[in-house]
Amino acid sequence: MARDTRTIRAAALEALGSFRFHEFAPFAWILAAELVVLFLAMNLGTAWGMASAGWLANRMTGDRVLHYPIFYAFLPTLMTNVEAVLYAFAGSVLIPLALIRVLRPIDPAAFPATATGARLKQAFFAVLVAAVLCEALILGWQFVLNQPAVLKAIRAVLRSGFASSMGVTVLGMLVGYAIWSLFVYIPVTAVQPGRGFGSAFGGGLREGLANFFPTFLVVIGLSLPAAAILLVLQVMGSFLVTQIRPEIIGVLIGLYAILSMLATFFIYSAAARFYQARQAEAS
Amino acid sequence: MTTRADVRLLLLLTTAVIAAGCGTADRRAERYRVEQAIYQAKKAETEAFLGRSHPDSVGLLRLRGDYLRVRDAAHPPFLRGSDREKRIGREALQLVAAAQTQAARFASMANRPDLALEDGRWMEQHAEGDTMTLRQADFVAAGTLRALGRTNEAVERMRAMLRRYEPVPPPKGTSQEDEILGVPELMAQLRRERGDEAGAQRELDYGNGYFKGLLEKPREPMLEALIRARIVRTDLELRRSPDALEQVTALEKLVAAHPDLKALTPELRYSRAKIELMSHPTDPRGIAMLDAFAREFPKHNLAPRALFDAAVYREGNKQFPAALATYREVVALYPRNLDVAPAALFREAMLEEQTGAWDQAKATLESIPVKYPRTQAAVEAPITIATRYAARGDQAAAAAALARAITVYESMIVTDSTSVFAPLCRYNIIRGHLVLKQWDKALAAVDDMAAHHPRNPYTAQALVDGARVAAANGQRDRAAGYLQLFLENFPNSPALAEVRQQKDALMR
Repeated sequence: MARDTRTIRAAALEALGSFRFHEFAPFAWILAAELVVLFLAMNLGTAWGMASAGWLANRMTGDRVLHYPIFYAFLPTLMTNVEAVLYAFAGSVLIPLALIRVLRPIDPAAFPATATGARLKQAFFAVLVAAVLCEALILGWQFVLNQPAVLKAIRAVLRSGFASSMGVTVLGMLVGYAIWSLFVYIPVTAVQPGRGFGSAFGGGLREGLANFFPTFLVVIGLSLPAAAILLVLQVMGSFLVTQIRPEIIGVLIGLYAILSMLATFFIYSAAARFYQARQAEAS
Repeated sequence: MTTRADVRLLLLLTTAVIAAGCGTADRRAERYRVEQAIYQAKKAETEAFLGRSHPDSVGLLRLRGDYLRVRDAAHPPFLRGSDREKRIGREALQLVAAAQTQAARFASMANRPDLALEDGRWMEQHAEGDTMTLRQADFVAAGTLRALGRTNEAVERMRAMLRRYEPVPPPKGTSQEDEILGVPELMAQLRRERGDEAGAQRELDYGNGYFKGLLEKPREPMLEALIRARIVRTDLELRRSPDALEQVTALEKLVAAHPDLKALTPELRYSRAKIELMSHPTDPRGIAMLDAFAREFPKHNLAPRALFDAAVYREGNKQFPAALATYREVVALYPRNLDVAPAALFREAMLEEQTGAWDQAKATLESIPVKYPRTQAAVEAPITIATRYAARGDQAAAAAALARAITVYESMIVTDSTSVFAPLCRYNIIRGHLVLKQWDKALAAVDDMAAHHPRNPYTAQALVDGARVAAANGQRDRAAGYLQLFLENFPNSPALAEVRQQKDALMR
């Protein structure tokens, strides 16, 4: 396992060191969509902001959140849902595309430019199912974590209100990242030549289980900056809305979206490099 | 071709998404802007009042400006379009009206009731028939007339409000009383502020009739209970214990029939205790009932009053140590309750003096204007120190206390020149100067009072006193001038004939 940890660490460092915008561009599209929604949401005082982001929020929870400043307390939920939908649907095409662009310089023979369209079609369903399943598991975990009995138990251990609120958030994030670590190899296996839905999904899941711990460490390490902002949003969100300035929430979400998108790209890039290295080693 | 078709499809989709939300988006956006502007104004207000020193009149008018800006965030008419749009527009209108009310409040605080009246008028003009907005406009107008010292007009406006607006039942599951039910009590308070106790009793009587009139129509149980509770309170103030008892019994039946009215049980217990004490003032059972109520429901809004009443009855029964302890308890438990805490502190000082602790009593009296500067007790305390010294035969100390009292009143006027107690402060200054034989200062104070409160009942007395002093000091024209002012400003005074006679005598 120590060897795997060293290898994935090297893969992560290589992903960080060899950043090319061309490879990141598919993620940048998702990011751009997120930022557009955020911009619209921060302009609910205009008819176009209210007709777009306001309409989305209205569909989700009704008119009661379309008030200032409470809308900003709801904004993280809105953006989480937008992000989940974008990752699941647009991501099912764009994440494999980014992975093909990452892997092509490493193994040009396995990822020829002419096969990109066919490879995306091949990967789409497996990546979509993986994304939906991953989201469902994370939502399920959040549901369990927010049950009164669980919250009471955490409060009993951590005593103070602030510490227990931090504890709940940190625990929620750690388990969420752990769930994602299991699914992170599915897009990587899905774009490999000649993979059907079953072998892509099963192979990716097996890879995730086999390399769970080193992958989890990389996921945590690369997500730290975004996680720090998420922590502030979760623990101090209502304080920022009611006591400081609601718009800070929007700025923090924007920052979080950028950092989290970069982290996601680097994680997939590292996972892809690590997977390729293991495949090369095995053959 | 494909690209053009794609672009067309994308445009179509975008338009469809925007159109889907556009029905009410414009109105929702407007409401959101109004809320944003209110948030900014509230934030500015919080910041302005954060420090120990409150903003001056310029600062207050700036805060008014922040609240006025709220109306720029919306474009009247508010009630236009479909029913859904009208509903959202009405919410925006009521938010704007609330902001206008705040603007009017700051205008009044900045001693600019003219601006407050203007704000009220704007609300009336833009109410678009919305009852809540019209009610708020009326509340602003009545409050402003009160600040301007136009008591009769203010009371008339309030009576018109009672005729015009039906009380709204409280939101489901709450016992939140509609503001309109508090209007008769406000009318009585307004009369009391002018030293018109008979007028206050008249207003309470009017209010009692109004409440009983409301019950001629069937009402929701909670609203009926709240109206009956009001009748009980006015009956108690009017000392009509049989009527109060009848209402309490009816209220108890109502509460028994509707378990969701249980929140009113404490008030019933308080009323029972008060009725008991009204019929048998020396019966310790009534005092014990008040005491028990205050201890069982310490957070109930009637608890401070119950404890204070218990102290008053104990004092009436000459149980001085127990009364003193209860007054002290009122001040300790409810220091922020301006209805009872200043009065309790004042009574505490009186009892301290009676039990021989004069130094303690004096310290207590001196603390009242500092702790509760905008209260009746604060106005009475400084002059009481002087009168108590005089009663003890220490004339030098009485004169020194009087001089100090004048300084305290002057600083109270400077701190809050629009306070309802300002006329009484000015009148006490005149009294102080007269006792100290500082004739010129006394006459200057009369001039000041006539300029600031031309139609206040205290001014009538000040003018008569001023005329007497001016005449005694050889200033016959000035004396005649004071009496002429009296004749002009108090045409309905019972002393009119006598004043006219005095003036004629001076002119001869």
